[in-house]
Amino acid sequence: MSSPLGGGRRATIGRTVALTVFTVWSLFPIYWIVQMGFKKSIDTTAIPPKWLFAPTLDAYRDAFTKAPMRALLLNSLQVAVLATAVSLAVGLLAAYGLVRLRTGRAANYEFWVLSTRMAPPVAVALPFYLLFQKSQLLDTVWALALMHVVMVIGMVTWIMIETFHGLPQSLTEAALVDGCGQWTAFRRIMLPLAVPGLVGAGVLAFLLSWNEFFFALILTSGHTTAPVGLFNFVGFQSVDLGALAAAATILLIPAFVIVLGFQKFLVRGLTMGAVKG
Amino acid sequence: MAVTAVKGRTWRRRADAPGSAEREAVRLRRLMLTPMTVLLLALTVFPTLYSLWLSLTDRTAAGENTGFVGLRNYTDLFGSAQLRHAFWLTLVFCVAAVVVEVVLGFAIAHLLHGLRREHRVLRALLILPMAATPVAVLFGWKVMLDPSQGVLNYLLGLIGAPQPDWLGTPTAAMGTMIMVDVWMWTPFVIVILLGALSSLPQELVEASHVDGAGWFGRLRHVVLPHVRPFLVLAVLFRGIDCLKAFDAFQVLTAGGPGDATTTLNMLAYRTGLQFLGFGKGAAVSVLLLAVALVFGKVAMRFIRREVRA
Amino acid sequence: MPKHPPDRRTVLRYGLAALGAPLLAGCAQSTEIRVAGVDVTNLDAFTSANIDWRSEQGATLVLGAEQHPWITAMSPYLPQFEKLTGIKVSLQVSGEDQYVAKMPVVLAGHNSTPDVYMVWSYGQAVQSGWLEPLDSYLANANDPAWYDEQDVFASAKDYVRWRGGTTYGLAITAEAQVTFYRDDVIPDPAALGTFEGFQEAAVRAQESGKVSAGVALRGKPTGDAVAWPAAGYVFSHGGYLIDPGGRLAFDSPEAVAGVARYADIVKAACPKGVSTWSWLEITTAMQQAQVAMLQDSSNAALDIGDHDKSRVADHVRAAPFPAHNGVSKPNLYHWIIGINKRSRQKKAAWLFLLWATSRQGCTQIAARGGTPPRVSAWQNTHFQEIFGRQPAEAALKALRSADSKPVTLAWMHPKWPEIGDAFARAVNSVFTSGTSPHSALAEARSRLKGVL
Repeated sequence: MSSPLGGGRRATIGRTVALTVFTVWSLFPIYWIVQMGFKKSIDTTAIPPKWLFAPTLDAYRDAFTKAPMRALLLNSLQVAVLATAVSLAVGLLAAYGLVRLRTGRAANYEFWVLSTRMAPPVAVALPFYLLFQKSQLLDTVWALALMHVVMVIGMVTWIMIETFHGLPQSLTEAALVDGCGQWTAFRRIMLPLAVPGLVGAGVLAFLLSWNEFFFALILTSGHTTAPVGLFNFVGFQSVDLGALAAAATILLIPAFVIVLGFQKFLVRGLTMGAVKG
Repeated sequence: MAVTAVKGRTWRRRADAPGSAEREAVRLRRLMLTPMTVLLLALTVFPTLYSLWLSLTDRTAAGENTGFVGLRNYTDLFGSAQLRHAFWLTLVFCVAAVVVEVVLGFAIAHLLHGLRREHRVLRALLILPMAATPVAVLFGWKVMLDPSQGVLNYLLGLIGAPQPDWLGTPTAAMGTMIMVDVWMWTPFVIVILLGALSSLPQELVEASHVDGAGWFGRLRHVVLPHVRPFLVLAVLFRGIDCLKAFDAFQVLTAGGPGDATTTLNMLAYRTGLQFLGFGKGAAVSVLLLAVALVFGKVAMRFIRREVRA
Repeated sequence: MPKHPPDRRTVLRYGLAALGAPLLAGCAQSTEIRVAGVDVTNLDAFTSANIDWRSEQGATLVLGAEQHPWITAMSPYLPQFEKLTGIKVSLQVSGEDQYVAKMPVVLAGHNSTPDVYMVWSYGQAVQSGWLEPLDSYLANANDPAWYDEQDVFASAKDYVRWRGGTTYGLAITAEAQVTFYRDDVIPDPAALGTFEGFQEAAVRAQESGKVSAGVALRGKPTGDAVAWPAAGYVFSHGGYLIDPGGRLAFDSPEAVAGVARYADIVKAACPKGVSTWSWLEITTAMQQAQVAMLQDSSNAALDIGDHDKSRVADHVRAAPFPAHNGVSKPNLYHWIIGINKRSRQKKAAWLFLLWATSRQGCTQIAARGGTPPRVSAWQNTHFQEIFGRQPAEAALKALRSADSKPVTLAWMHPKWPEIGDAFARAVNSVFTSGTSPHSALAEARSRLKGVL
């Protein structure tokens, strides 16, 4: 598929150069962190930096002994999956409900949904802590997942709203005229068409939850998630850069796999405008 | 009684009364909005009210609060040079970061859009800056950016370029913070705009070729109108997130040098959680929330002008 | 064109996946750290004391801490404590920034755990009502002869004594400000005894080309970074941060002179970028032979003397902190642990405090590289092997003779976080924005108006 802006051969070379520069710029810091995890302690912070070195798994061994990586990863996974599932379900329904609402009330409601994303975490740390403390839900997967749902629901819902707006009304109208019920029209026609958008929003929600740090820190203690666990390596007068890099690389793998696997939805699915016409 | 077959199943229309379809639609809509409403009411009303109430008190952890002080926290803040400085810094950071991210994201989305499907690995790789755990990546940046120990200046030195003190002077520090945010979040914009570009009907593009429109004309009259809602979406989300930006500032500069990168959120954190001035900290947070609300309202106006399909 | 809408099976699969999620969420995995323990069979050193160790057996204690060398040295002995007392200890460790962000929320929320925790700002904690007074425990549930309070550094005891004489916590570490230098680069260590000599030696080392910069100093503008080393300069020049009258004093001529000296050395002999430097960067600079000297906490010896991390481990020596007009007042620090005022296990918590800070407890922690606030621990041969004999002697000398008054007045003040932050930013702005020390500190004072 050619770029909508067209252009000849010189433009193609220019495009390749630009893309290469951007790729190097984007990936170099990632590469730098990953390679830090494979160096010996004395080489991690070598001045000048070392490019060629004998790789070692010492840092990975440290990461696994200094922090309970398996438990941390499992907790992160549970929270992320739960948060994604709930936010998709709630957001999907709400988005469809809003899209069919043609009055100004829709805009207000949408704004309310969006405003969940506006509060600075610091402001809501204490009230949420108290809320979950009183309900005996501190340090559980449920509490944190719920918190993450609140965090991503705005984005998920808005993406779904845009997705539904991109689908033509004519399809449902035809079905309704034929005697199909509202819910059935939604379930059998609109929903399947919106799945790509749903998956796209889901991947973004998953990533945001997987990497979330502040609320995981505040709301959990003995059963925490990986990003918080990472900070076991950044202590007072004791920073273990190698182990930090190793743990960060381990955390990166599931995120990368999911992005790679779902990236076609991520990219194409945020709108189903291709259905237009 | 009308009977129809859709996808192998049959329905009977419940009643032939006019308006029943609309009533059913309304009922369904209400039902679908209920989970969201319950969620938001249960979880967002209390914290917001609590913060608002807190901002009107003098409360500290030490319990030496004098109780309700009305708007005194706010008047103190508006008179505080530190807060005005933080407000300005936040504005500068947000505007610069969002503008660069959206423009750059738009450009890169175009470049990626032109690639074939075999290049999906590249596309996935370019999303990595956003997919990696921020706290770890920021530590990596911290190490890389060190003027005398880090690899960035080392590389610049190899090619004879100047080796700046990235975080060491007020202007350079803010510039670097913007750069790091751009690095991390441009992929978000790219993702949104790639989706928008994929939905651009090919016939329109081809038609403009036939009409002899140039590169710029095509951009203005074909591409931009179509992707506008998504551009606004990107600006909206990035703007709101930049207002709350915290992790990078905490890890890279701690608000320094001096106070040169102490944004509103950093100030709220310091006042509330470090100095335990809960009341005052809440006031700063409420201020930040107000800015975000205003921004959201304004931005939404740009979205609503679109005609729905 | 889109593919056919997903068929029933796909939708079913997605649906099941979404439903399966809550099932997974049933069991959150415990992420507490369990460290492999050491030999726990010989408990004689503790059981010989006149203390009923088993009075709270069966209880569970939660210990909240930052990742710190003390935790690394102490945690292998937790099984010993559990065997001795029958109390189970649950260790919750965070990174430093995270710990000080989270604890205020937890404690302000009146949580009963952690029962024992490392106190990062003592004055603030006491005034906020977060610490249990310990005087009655010290008097009644103790064996003074066995505990041996005489062995504890005077400064450590002063540190925890609050106004009115009540003790709210016990010190667990001790560190003093010293100058580390490389004996293969600095020819004349005796010259390091004055600030002028120290600065000159740094500049000369830099000019010799053997190192890229003379000295590594912290510059990060926070109360827990640049404030500490810069305060030593202020104290040695005769100034205070908070004077004995309880007033802000960091814009007095003496304090300004001290800050000016610190900034001069930073500008003349420190590597570029020092304005964001904290512990990691200064130790890296020394370990990687970037600098000739490091002037900060004695705890640096553990990092720069470690052959696995440091290229110069064999050449590191310690010299006393410089003097100004014959007066040397290096800064000190003692980490403190205390009992949560809302804890439901105070007696068990007290037993832990007793165990960890007793003479015997500190000796074994020192043997693993912890730096307890006791003379006996610092003279322990195992400890000196790990720490380095010469640095240990230099630090011990500083700790025994140090004047803890200036630092206690400042760091133990209830508003220290705010004061320390303003001071740190002022010092930092002197060498990043070229502000004069006097105007920077005066501005800090005006910012703190109404705080005291």
